[in-house]
Amino acid sequence: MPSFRNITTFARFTKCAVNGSIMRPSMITPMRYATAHSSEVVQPSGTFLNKDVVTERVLNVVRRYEKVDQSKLTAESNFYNDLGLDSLDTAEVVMEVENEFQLEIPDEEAFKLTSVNDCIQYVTSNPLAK
Amino acid sequence: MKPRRLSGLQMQVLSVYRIMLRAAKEKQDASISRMVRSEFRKNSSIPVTQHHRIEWMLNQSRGKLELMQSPNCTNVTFFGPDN
Repeated sequence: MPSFRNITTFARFTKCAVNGSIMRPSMITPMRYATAHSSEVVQPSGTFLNKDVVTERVLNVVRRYEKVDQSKLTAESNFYNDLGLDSLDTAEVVMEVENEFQLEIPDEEAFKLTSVNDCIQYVTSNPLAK
Repeated sequence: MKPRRLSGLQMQVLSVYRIMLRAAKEKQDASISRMVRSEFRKNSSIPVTQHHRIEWMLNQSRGKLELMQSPNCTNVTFFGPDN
């Protein structure tokens, strides 16, 4: 199997030789080395979870947290405005969600999750969620 | 409604809170996480104007975290509220 370097130089030389002109960035075509030698397609390491299942599980996690106002809990409710939580509580709820889906949400992302819907969006878009 | 923005200091406090809760979960003793929660809750009423005090406490927390993470620490005796 040729190395990365071999493939690139080969492509460049043929382009220049055929056109007989100056090399421009637009001539460099992106390489597809998965299809060049084998037909197998690279799959992402995980699969995305179904949104309904995620909604149910996230709601269960939030319901388990005792400070949450149960009557106002829906998939759209905001932690601060609707459920009456402060930032410490929210950090804890997000950590519970992490545990439920066996994720490790980085701090910057975790601080942006301010509603149940945000959590659902994050989990459904993360292929590592279990 | 617009999500509210956290200040830099708030983010620092929250990330220390997350780290500490994670560290507390490693230990068998549930009273460690109870202590972490109640300490942060107790000091959450410090106004932002006393940011030097908050920063001082953040510095203190680093040492406490190290102590908590050491394998020699197995349990704490904590007399406080139950959450």
